[in-house]
Amino acid sequence: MGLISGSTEFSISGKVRGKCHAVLKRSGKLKTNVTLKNFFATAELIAFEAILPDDTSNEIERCEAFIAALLPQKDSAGTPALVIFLRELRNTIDEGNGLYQDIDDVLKELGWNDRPSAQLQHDVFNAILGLNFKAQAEEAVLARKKSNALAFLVSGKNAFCGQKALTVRLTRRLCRSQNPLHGALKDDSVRIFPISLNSVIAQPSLYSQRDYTSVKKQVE
Amino acid sequence: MVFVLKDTEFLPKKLLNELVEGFWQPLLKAVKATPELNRTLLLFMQDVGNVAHACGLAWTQHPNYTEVPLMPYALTPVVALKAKEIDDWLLGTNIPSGLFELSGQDIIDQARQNTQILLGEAGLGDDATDEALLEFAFEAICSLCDLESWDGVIAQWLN
Repeated sequence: MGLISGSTEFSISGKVRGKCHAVLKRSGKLKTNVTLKNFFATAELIAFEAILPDDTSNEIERCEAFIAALLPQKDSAGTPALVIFLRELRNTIDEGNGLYQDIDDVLKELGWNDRPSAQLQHDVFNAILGLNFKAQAEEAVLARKKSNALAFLVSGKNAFCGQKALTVRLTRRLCRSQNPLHGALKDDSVRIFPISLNSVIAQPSLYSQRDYTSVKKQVE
Repeated sequence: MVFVLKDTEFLPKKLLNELVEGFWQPLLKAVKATPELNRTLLLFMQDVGNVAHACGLAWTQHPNYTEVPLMPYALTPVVALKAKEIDDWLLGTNIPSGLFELSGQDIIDQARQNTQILLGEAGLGDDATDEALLEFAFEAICSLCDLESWDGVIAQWLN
């Protein structure tokens, strides 16, 4: 592990320090004192903004001073400030970007690579879907047993009750439930057509061309 | 085929009726006219802003009603979740064990704290109601589990 715990602060090995330098430089966040300060304006980093070095004249010097300033710092939960910074930095980068993986590697060497695997994320998502909606799911399955074609109105007490989540849950559930005449649908035979109406107000012509009409054509 | 009608809060009122009468019902008739195709048709209309009620869309709450499936079937409206239900869920066996291996109990405690904060911010956290706006609670859980944003996860699946 690259992060070494002392009595009051942490230090990192020369190898990990070198890798930190590399990812910091590639991120471009340390190009100037201003870009660095700006990046620390988030809720997670603002607490450390005051300790940032602001009298450095070049990027290499800034990197070294930055790491030295962050190393002794931790949040109230004991997470090192450098780790918090690297996580925030990673969150700004597309997963397909090589820098994303390199930051992951640095965090791993620091012993703080706690990003869930894709499978775990999938499991959490499924677990969240199971949090509510039992009554609606039972109603929908019952209706599906009676008919192979159904239009459901998914409403809620207010706008944020979970209508979207319920739609996903029902879509998944009904595709797997049995209809006496037609049986269950196979996953690979399901085609989902989301009809977004976001553009109706701003650009009615785009809406009619790209959403409703295009879906209708695909169906026809 | 599964159709998901999203963002109904932005919908001009008459368009919802038009969609049912001019799109769903003809499609249904066409599919029924060709039973050999063995098609399954599902339409989900997410009514986020109570638009269906405002525009006078005809629907039924009885699955045996003769107009079903021509008429949308209104499921029981989703209600806010009690904070205790979220607590029970967070402390129960629903959470994938891998999350504990990553962060131990801490992530659960954080999720509970954040849900309480969200409840407070939404003005629903007092003892009388103590209800969670589910979308916000989901968002908090996703964030703490380092998942994509809740909307992002939903969009990814639906698209």
